[in-house]
Amino acid sequence: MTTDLLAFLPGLLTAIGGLVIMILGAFRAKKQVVVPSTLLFLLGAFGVAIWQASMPTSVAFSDMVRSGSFASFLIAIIVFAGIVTTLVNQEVMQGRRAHSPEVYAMILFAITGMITFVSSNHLLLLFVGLETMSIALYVLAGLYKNERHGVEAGLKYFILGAFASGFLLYGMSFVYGATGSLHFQALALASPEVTQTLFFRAGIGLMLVGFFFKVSAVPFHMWTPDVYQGSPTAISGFMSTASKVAAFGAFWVLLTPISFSVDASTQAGSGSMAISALYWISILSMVVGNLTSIAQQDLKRILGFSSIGHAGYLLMGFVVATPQAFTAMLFYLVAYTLMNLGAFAMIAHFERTFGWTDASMDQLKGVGRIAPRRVALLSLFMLSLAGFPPLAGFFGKYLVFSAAIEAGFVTLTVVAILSAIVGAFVYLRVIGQAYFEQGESAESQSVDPQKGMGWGMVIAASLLAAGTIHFGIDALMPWPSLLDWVNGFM
Amino acid sequence: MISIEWFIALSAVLFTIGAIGVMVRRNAIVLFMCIELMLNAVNISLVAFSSYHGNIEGHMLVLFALSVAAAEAVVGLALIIALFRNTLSVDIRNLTLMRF
Repeated sequence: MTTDLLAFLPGLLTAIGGLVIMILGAFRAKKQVVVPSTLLFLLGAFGVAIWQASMPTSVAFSDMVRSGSFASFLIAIIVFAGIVTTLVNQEVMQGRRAHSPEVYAMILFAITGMITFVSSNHLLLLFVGLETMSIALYVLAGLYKNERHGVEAGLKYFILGAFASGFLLYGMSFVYGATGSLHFQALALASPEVTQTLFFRAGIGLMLVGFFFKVSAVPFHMWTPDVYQGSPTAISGFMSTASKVAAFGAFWVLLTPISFSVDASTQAGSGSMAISALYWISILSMVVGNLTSIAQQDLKRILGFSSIGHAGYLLMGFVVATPQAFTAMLFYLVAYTLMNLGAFAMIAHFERTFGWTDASMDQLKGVGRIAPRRVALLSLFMLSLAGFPPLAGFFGKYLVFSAAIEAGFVTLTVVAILSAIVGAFVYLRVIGQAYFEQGESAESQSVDPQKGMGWGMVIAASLLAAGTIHFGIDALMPWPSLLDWVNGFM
Repeated sequence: MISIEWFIALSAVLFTIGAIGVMVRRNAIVLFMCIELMLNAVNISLVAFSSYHGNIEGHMLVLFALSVAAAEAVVGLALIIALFRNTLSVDIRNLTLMRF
């Protein structure tokens, strides 16, 4: 029993943390108490996850939970995103009515759900983890309940999210009907007679619908820009990174054994069907995400569409499904988390400092003159999202594309590179807007020079910027790199 | 003994009614009821498969699905109340502030 609990320690810490924060909130605790205790629980979970990531994979709770290596590594990324979100959020939401202690409780509960989700080894736990994460995120998305944007974001996310989890659950039911088990291993080891049945194929298809919704792949992406625009900006950053890390990690474990095993035995199994669906959805996500972001005028919507494009690059890893693609996907998830969190954090900071009513591109005019260093940070994250060397985003794309080329997916890679070029234009436009456009409003605004970044923002931004630069070049450095570490998981 | 096909057909019909309802209805509460209908249709199929296979895993998943649906109802109804306070209606055609 103790070893079981130890294996799930990060999740326990965040769950207990969430309950403690709820109780602190009931006793009207001050933010000076709530925020450090949230950070304490998250740092504890982060430390445990990093420590467990160096151990081999083990199972606990009678094969229900996986921990160690790959799963713990993903947990560490998720908890890191939670730490950064807490640091940024406590600063940019200061003084708002919606800034209650329960925000941090919900962040902790969402992280608990994500941890359950990525460490699940059984469809029951997968479903419970996914729903714990989603329900906490519905609350966070609708946090500005007195503003129509906030309610719209929350309700759109809720209705479409619940709709998609209905499909996911129906898919699980079909897979269960075909195999008689909900264990991942039982599904991976199912005989070809079972996997050829209509029920199994329909079940995998329905589960893929739920998965595509959670990672906002085209054509299940329509909620993404709306929800990211209407939610509090720091929370949008959290939703766009941590929940995707969780979804990609969990479904990698679930889906690749199925596609591997079926492809090896017959050419026409459910695996190849799933792969061809993934192939087209990956292409569609890259093209639609990057092309539609050109037409957007709102920074948060641009990042929403760009996250659809990034989901497309990550799905390439599922299509290729080789060990190289797996390590490339893990690396890309780290890079994506760092740079996307950074972009959202800087936008949240500008929104607060310059009193923006919305995050439209026009607001950014002339900001480069007033706050050149902070815009330089935003530009760093934007360049990394665009894939400029020597930043982490470039190296992530390089790894994914070279894995695809090695496995012979040339057309897919060409489409990916073309859409990455289109995407780069959008990010460069944001930088150009900030530095080279004359601002009518920004110049005349009385900006208090003291009102720079607070301690939370400084820590978060410097961690993210350092990570974005370091992971772009650490493969060239003499010390052990992230890539070596990730390679060790296979 | 009713054969399993009938249960699966019933659950498929209920699920389809729910899914179509989510797509065509405009009232947030009706939409929410349709989602609940979809989840309960899944529960029927899970229980049917569970007794067909003679193992307990499907029943377990049903219990968890029920409690998840209850938790979802709490958040969903709270969001619908917030919508009503802002627009004095529960018509989802009011959710057009952000669009492409």
